Amino acid sequence: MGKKGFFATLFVIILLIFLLFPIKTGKEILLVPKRIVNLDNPLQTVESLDRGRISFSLGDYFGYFTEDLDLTFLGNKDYKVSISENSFINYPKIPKILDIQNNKGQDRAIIESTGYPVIQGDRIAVLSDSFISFYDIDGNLYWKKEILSIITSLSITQNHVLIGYLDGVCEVVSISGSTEFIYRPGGSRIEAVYSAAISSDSQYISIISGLDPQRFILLQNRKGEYKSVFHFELNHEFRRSVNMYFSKDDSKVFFESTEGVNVFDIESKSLLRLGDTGLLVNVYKDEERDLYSLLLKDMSEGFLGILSEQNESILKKTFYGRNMFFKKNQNRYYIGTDNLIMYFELVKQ
Amino acid sequence: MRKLIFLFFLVLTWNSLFAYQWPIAGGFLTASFGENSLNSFLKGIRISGYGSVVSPFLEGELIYYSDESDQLTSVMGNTRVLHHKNGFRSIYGHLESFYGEPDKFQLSENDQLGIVGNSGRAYEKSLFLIIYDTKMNQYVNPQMVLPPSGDMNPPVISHVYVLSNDERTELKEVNNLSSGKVKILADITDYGGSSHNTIETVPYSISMFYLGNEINLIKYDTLKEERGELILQGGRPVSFKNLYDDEAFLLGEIYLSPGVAFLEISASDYYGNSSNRTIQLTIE
Repeated sequence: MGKKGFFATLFVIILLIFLLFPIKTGKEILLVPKRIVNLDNPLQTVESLDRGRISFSLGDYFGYFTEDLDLTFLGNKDYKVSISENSFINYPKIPKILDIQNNKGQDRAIIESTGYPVIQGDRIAVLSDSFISFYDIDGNLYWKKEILSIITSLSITQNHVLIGYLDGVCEVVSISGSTEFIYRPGGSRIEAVYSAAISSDSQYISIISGLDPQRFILLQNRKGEYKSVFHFELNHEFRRSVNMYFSKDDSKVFFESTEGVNVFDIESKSLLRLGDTGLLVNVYKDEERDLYSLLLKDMSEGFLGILSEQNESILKKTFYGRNMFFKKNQNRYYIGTDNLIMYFELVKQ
Repeated sequence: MRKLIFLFFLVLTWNSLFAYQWPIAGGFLTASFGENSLNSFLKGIRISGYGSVVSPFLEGELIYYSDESDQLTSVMGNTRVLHHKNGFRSIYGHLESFYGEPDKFQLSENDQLGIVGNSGRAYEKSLFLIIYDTKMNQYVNPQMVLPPSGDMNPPVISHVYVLSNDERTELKEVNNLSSGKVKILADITDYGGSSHNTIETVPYSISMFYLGNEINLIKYDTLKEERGELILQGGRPVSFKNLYDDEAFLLGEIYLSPGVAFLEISASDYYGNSSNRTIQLTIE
């Protein structure tokens, strides 16, 4: 049997195991495997069926698939890719132009820039050595500013960009390029912003700031001005950029802890800590069932957990790979590991 | 006993003079502080040193590190930032990949910060070193604080131009010009603080005299933010757009009155090597 035949047989065996032995999640919830796609050897990509497109970036690959895991576009990264549900920029290590393409891989626009892009929705920020620029998805420039410190975090909404700097300052810039708010949290021996996120309606800003102590700060926009409404000291200090974002409904802030994920509820001002090991890949709150679904990873393993609000494990499943992604759409779970994308469905038994 | 005391003070003086060290041994400068880097001031220096170990330029605390694989990829690639007791922060960019979390945060000059690499937006392996003074809120020219590297070559003033009505004319030693307001530009290069490389960098200071009056003095000491843009400080404060015109230095504006006048331009490097050029202007 040749090398190719061996891998093909191995793939079929994995597929059979995957389909024959669904993962039990206790008495009520079952995660049923539905499909698996090998990106090294995809059968073919299909034309868009308008059944929703889900973007992914996994190892050397990126692309889009439908909710049934039909690949609609598969690409190889030049150096890196910045991708949203509708567009992507696949860029080289030393870019001279940035080519914006739609989710079918068709050219959409070009940005002349030597920096690295960040796409969020239909907005693009480009970071170069000395400048940050803000564009719409068709490459029209809104504004360009000189960077005066190292940028440690960036959060983009339709009309605002929140920038966190290593010198300890956060800045909210509007779509017109005017600075709407500058904030220096202070209160620590070392001043630095390690993460900053803005809610989709720009109503809330959350910041992780400083060393000795490192603090979480929540600000709320009241009558056009952001005011600090809550803060607390963290029991662990990160010295790198921290993954932090608001939930889809802006009711919660998710941010990394050393092991698992912290969930800060804005209304009750309470903090949950979920999971037990690994770094956060992605987390979702299932409003119907009061469950959290999260994927945590370490160097070569990923841990999918479905947890109650009391951090009780409903399901835990280990996956293997250096590169991972996790997306969820209602009861559909998509997990990527290196060259595989798996699709599960969560069902009640 | 006197000899011992003398020796003690000699060592003390030596140490205080050279408290800082080059972060890589045997490297040479490939880009200097404040030079034109993609239409803005370069905030630090680039040092070539293929595969060399990078050490802190001064003992300090590791307060930030970023990896090329992070969600927010920086053009500086793998980066480490130290905070120093004197309020300086030193930033080391384009390092080789790190594996795992750093194992200690207090680092001495003998510790290894990383290896010179080409992560991020870099053509070749070199270290990008930035020094930021948090007390004065300004970028400091690393060559102002690092030990001298033994450069013996003065900067070269290769061309001087007069710019009038958007027309650039190169000046010779003796020139006949019409009266009126003109801008003076010059091509001036230094050679990276090393006599054996041909990489062009900017000199440390440039001055221009006309009719015996100092028209401009540019010094590459620090970069400080003013009204949302970085201003080069040391001599007369100047913004990027008022200093660079393509690859040439914009040295200032003068009014040419009828008669004979002398324009003097001088440039010096960090080690006192200097060049001068005097140009005679006959104005009608």
